[in-house]
Amino acid sequence: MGLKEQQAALAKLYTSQSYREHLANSGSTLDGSLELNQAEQVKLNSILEDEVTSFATSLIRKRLGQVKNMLPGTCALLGETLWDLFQCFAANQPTNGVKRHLIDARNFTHYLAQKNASEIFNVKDHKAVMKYEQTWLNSELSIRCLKVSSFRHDISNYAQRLAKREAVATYSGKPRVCIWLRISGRQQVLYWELFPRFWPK
Amino acid sequence: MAQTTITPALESLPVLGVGMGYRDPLRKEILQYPEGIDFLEITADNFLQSPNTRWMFLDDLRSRYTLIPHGLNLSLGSAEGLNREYLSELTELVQRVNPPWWSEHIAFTKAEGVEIGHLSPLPFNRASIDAFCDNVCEAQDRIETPLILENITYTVDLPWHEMEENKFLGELLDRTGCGLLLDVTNLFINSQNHGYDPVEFLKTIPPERIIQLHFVGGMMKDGKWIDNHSQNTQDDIFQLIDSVLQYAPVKGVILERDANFPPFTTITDELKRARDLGRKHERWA
Repeated sequence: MGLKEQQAALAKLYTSQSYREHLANSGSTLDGSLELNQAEQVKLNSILEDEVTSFATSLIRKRLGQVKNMLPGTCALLGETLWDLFQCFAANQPTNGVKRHLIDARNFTHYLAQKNASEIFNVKDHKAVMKYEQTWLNSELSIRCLKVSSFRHDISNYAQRLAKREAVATYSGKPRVCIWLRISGRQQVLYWELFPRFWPK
Repeated sequence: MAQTTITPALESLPVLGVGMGYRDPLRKEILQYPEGIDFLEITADNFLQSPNTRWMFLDDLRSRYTLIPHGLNLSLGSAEGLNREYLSELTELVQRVNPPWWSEHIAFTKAEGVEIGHLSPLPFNRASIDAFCDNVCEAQDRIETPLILENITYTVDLPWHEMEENKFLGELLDRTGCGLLLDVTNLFINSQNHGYDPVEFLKTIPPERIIQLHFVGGMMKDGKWIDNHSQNTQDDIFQLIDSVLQYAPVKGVILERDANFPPFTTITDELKRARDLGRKHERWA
């Protein structure tokens, strides 16, 4: 088994739970790509459950740390369920590219949406936080974009207060129309919020 | 100690002193504390594919400090070769910063289209050394600035090892001609997790190869030490820094704190402690 094959096997072992499980259960891989001699097989089995799985879990923890920076409000709302959800999401889905943390965070929001956000978030309005942060990510990942979204209240303030873990953060204030504009990959995303001057309390 | 030829390029590198890894959350504090920071290390990946404002900020930082680019994802250990697009972007960054040296890790981060997302240890074998040397040659063809290589931690005992870690490191440095960015914390952690004496390990590395140091606190988790870059530096690690500075003509040391930031005075205290150790061994003023 050459170095290229060794590294390919390790990369899959570190990033794919199903690959690890299949190897542990059957002694071979799903696609037959890992041809081990007996000594290698014995050695790999001895480290699979403990060392390889620990390393794989530490990778997921590291990814989650980055995703928390990208989706601070959403992650704060998920509270104690965050780790389990992220672990399920990341178990078989590796990251990719220089902007992989942004992509990872965006893919996590897609995963949450598929899981049906109303089951995950306790309060209906919390879905707005995810939509707001997801739009930021999509804008940062675009070379050019114009995105306009409306929100029932002051969404940016709410997301910021959640990110700071303020216990009394509430979704309130005047309605907002939020605009994201990016004219090229070398320019940063421009952002505006529009709201009515007068609004009944 | 292994006998080796040190390239003139390494000998003539300037002494930079004591610095820290630039981190955005500490931007204000770093810029307000110029007298205690001689140079900064920037994580190259945090500036690649960035908008112009980010590059302008980099120019501003460069006007204040010597900057050392530190790569994370070149994957010099990959048997499949380098990602040319990434290398081009890195080249652009290094040329813009114009540092005395730049650094990458002794690791691989991708294989067969799968990005691992972290620095993964190489099997300590000859095939790894061959692949690594080929990749370093290609990188040096594009980036003429001297490259130094950083040791990483490893917790997985791979089935394909053919030699000890110190033999692997020594041969790799010898064949590439690169200097070593010795992560003292990683050396400490590996010595604890794999049961060897870090000072004895140190003495197998030619002293002139050790150009720069990294340090930060380690952490025990489930009975093993890990390097999550989020702890204050322990006394044991400072003692090891002392041993390294006594042994090798180190040109610079970087505090590599990434998370769980303490009050900035804690960081400056650690920088001062590293500075004092360097002064004790007359490595810098």
